[in-house]
Amino acid sequence: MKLILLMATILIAPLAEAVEKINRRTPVGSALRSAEWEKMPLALRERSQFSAGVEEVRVMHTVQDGLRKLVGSLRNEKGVYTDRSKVIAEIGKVAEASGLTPRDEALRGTIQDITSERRAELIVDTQTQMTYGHTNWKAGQDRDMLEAFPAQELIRVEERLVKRDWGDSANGRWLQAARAVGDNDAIRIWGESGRMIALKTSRIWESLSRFGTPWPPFDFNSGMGVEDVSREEALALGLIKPRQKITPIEEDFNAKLEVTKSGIGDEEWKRLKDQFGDQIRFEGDRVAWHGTLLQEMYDRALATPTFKGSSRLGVATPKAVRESAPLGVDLSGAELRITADDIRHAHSQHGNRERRAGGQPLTRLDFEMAPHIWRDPDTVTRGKDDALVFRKDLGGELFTVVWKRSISKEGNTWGIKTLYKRRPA
Amino acid sequence: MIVVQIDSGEVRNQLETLSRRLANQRPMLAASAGNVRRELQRHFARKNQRPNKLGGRRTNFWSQVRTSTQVGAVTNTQAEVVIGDFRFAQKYYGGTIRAKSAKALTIPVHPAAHGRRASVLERELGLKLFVLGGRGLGNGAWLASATEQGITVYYALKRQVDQPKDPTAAPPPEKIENAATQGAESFLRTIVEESQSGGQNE
Repeated sequence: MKLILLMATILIAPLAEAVEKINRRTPVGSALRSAEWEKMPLALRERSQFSAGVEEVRVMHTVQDGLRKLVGSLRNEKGVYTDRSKVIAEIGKVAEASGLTPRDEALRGTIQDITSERRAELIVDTQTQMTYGHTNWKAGQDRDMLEAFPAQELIRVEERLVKRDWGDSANGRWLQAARAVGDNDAIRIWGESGRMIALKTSRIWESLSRFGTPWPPFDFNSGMGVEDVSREEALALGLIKPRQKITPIEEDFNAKLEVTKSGIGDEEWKRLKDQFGDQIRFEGDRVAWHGTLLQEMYDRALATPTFKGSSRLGVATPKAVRESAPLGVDLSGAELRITADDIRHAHSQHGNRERRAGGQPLTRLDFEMAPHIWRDPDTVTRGKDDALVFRKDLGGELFTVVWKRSISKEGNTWGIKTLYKRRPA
Repeated sequence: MIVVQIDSGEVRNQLETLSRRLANQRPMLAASAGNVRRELQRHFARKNQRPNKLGGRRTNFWSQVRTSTQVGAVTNTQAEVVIGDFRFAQKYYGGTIRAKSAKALTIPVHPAAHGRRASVLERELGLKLFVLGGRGLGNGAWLASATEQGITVYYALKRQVDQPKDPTAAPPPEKIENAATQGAESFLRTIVEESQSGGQNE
């Protein structure tokens, strides 16, 4: 049989694995800052589409949708590709329309301003690099690829005005990471040549990364990337010995991307439940996101009038506690629980039959705003019968949620008495 | 999907000759594709070092193309290198871009407009852009802003633009072919030398 080698076919095509990685993520809105997210289990970070301090799920949906279009090379109904600048513009637009422009003028236009171009660029570029970084890492863990290119080098791929110390000094991140995992070859090669080279299977890559992943980017806006090092070079550098086969670490690493009941402590689990409520749950033995929780509940509550389910959506934030205290209500540790009855009631009053002056009919997505308003109200006032009234302007629509204390065996829980929205006068 | 076949008879002959020395060709093809990828990535990295023509903020376009360049499927007979960023095709082949989603394309002519949508420019710089000149939004019109210092033009409005192909978008074919054969040769030479010395498995 004649062997036909069609070599080095270069394709310009979306990478299916990269698109799949984006699709697997759940958009999550949360007030957690970067440092707090970094303490979250890697498994949950890897499977969520989040951005530090962004509670608005609509924004995270926009981010995910934009990344999907970018990485998937998707065209719109008119046959036009979505490019990076379009995605950046969309994120800013949706964030602005959601009322997320910082009230503090000093923060506007900064990296903390989700409506700013700088922040949207950071999100899009970091997420795109992470997606491709993962795809490349996975391809590099193939046995034959590892045999041909067993190592990689950390190199600068984009210039920066202010450069972090990756490998400039003995206090640089490269040596710190190498020492942390005991990669003596990486230390030796740096000492001999100043190059930052290690086996692809070394734990140095995870140690180097702010995100805990063995693929680039290893930090925000770092300008650093990796380049493959061939078998020939790896032998010459003494990284591998003749005929040495390197064992892929993909399975081991993927095992870390599972958080199980036995692997998570009670305290950690309580912290996650306080933050995310039932949006995080066990599926079998595995901890998983349930990002469509409220949408599913909304559909089921309206389709089945006898459905009596409820969902826990996290405890009151320090802000909600602080704003409620002067009204004589202590929300410390109070948990939000939304029931199917709450949804049906609000929908019957303010859904398609909304008749209030200026009132806007509630949609399915509006119910997703309830936990967001619970965590970050603009104003808090006292309502009838000890109810609390939280108001929030979300991009020109004024949402009002009236919360009522629920009678529950499980302590201080609050539910929705009613929810409506209107355009501000 | 766009396919650029680097498949000259010479490369094929060389690789067939080399492959006869192996029972399993896949690692050699992986080495070959990996080296092509590295060649492409280095090329894109060099291109990224050049400033943009308008002198505006860097978008690191070529670095993004570099990041999206990966080794794709590798079999016993074929290996792929995939460039995931669809914008590379426009650079490589050139072609006409027509306004479809909007009435006109906004072509940046001011450094501040480089890599930015008009809406983002307005928001970031606190400007209000207006259409200047031309009849309607077709050719000959501009998007500009007026300040006390005068009128500044940021974008040309065009119904379509013809972009010539960038002959330096990819390395010359012979360079890619060399990378393909050198990757395979280096790998084969190494494993032959290794087989002649002692060794171990991890």
